Amino acid sequence: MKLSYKIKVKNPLGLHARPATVIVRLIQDAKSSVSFTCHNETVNAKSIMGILMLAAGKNSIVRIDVEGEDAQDVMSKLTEVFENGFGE
Amino acid sequence: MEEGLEFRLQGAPVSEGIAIGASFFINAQADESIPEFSIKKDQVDKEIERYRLALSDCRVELNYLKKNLESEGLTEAVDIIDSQIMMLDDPLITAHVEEKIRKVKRNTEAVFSAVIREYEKKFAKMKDSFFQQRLVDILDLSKRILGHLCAKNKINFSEIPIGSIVFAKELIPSHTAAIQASRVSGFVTQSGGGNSHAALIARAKGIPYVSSIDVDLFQNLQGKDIILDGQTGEIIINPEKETLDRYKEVKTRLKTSYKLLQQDVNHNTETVDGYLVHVFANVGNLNDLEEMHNYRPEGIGLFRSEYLFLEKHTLYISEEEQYQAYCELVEKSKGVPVVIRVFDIGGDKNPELFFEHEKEANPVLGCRGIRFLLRHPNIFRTQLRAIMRAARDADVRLLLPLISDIHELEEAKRIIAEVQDDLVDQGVVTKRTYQIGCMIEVPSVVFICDAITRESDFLSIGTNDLVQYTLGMDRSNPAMSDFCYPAHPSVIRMIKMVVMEARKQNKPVTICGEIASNPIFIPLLLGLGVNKFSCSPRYIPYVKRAVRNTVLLEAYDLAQSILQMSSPIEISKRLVEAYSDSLPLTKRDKSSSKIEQVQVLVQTF
Repeated sequence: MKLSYKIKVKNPLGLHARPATVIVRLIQDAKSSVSFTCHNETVNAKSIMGILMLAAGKNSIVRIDVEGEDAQDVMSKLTEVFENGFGE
Repeated sequence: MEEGLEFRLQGAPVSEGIAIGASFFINAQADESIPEFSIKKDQVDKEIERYRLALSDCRVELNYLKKNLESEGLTEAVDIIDSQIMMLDDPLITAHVEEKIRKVKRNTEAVFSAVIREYEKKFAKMKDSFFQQRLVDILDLSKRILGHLCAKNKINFSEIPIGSIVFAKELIPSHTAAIQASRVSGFVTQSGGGNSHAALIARAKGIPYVSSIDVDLFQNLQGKDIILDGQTGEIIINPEKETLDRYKEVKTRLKTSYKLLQQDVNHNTETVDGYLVHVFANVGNLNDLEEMHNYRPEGIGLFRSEYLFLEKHTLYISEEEQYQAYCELVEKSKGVPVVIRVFDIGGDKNPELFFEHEKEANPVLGCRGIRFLLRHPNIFRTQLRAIMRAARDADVRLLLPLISDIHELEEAKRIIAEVQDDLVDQGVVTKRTYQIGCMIEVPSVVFICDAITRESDFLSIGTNDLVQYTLGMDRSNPAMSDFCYPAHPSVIRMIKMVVMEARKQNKPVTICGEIASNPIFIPLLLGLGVNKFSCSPRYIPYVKRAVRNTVLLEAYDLAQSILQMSSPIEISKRLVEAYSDSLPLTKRDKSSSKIEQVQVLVQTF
């Protein structure tokens, strides 16, 4: 299954180290491949360093692409943490 | 000092022999920038393994750091460390770097720093300064990883020019263990006494070694001609031709006399009056086994199993990997009995293995030897399973290090029996009896040796630790090394107690400390009733000759007179006299200079 979704970064500091850690923890064991695209840069979302490289600050739009058998599950988990601003 | 002028430094002799070669300072190298070189195809896996090891060392270190920060309540700092720990699993750090190593075939440090530089460039382009600052975390982590890569690699022995004399602040056992005697011709260090583990290994490998030289003062002497005299502890820098010629001659003479000794290792080892003595080898490395057979030991009296995996910097080694190593050990020992001492870690031996555990204020008195294994039964069981699978019908015996209490011995025996029962139940091995021996190296077991002997199949007296625990002196402390030697009457009396008890109960007892490789102590030990010695293979010829020159009855008298003495100085003097008397040559011409020479021998051991 292949899913794609665009989402806004809501937390004040953007996708810095802590949110990146939260994201990677959430999806590192997922079977699907996950990538984020922002400012024309696409990175592996299972890599903290990759996510940091996006330099996605507050209000930037990130495209999430998920492909694999558990895509649905992964996508809903991801949108949830994005929506609540990674608890910040 | 002027360039090119001969000058001499006096250090403490640690391992005998003469070395002539160019100086190579390893600390001077460590400060330089990251080494870069290409690697061959078949080295790729090794490089990757080295990289993984550095990452796992990093993880251990970060976890330790995290625990400390947590206990201090510094949650923000804990978060930073947490994300660094996570980053260690980051595909950019793991798979990406490994792929690169495979692709570009360069050393890990070079590839890793190139990846980080690439990353840095991407960050530099960012407009958002907040994100640019995140780079700090990554650079911090990369420094840490590089630190681990280079720390383990500080001494990359394959890069040292062949025949060098290595100058270092200090040597740790995994360094010395990694060295091939053919590459390095000598060692000079600042710290590390005559009884440190690095010294034992240097001696076992026949590498001359001098310590207590202020290495920092001579950093500018890289690549100079050096003569190292392991007998006197003298270092000669820029030797003149005459000096060089004289030392070359001494070196050849030492070599020939050793060769002569080696020729008669094949004969039975008996005292003059026909008392049969058994000589075994101490081994810690599978590569040494082939050479060991040249000295015809009756078996391996002490196989230091922890040395097999020193370079791994962890003891969580898979059963399969250990199994392979023990199979090789059994095969290469060609049917002679092998005493495997189970992992003896801690103390001054391999502190890095302890990093993940609690830091100890006093590691030598801490969780080492059997204490460590009983607290980490998984490590113990894995090792036992691997040994038992590899041993099958071979004459393999198990030796337990640092027993200080009867319960430790009972508990270890219980675990050994359990592991064997499991393996038999699983149909992996067939039932057989393992002889289980006990190291005598803590004074407490000397005083309960009646009970210990009853519970053991054999005993092995490790005099190095016994001396340090009895005298309360740190054997790796150079300031103590002059005093911390086994001619102390307390040690000699303890050896006697143990040997008497073992004889009473008809259990074999072997001496396996350095004392067993020192010819000067052989007559005394024989007189105390010892008839099994285990020493580094190179010393076997000396030990055999010392036995052959001894008359047992005289040795008995010697032992009786020494047991009456209370001063270690008096005892060493008496030992030296007895030894010079036993030498056929000096019987005719007992010059005082001969005694002086022997005196030097006592000190170097």
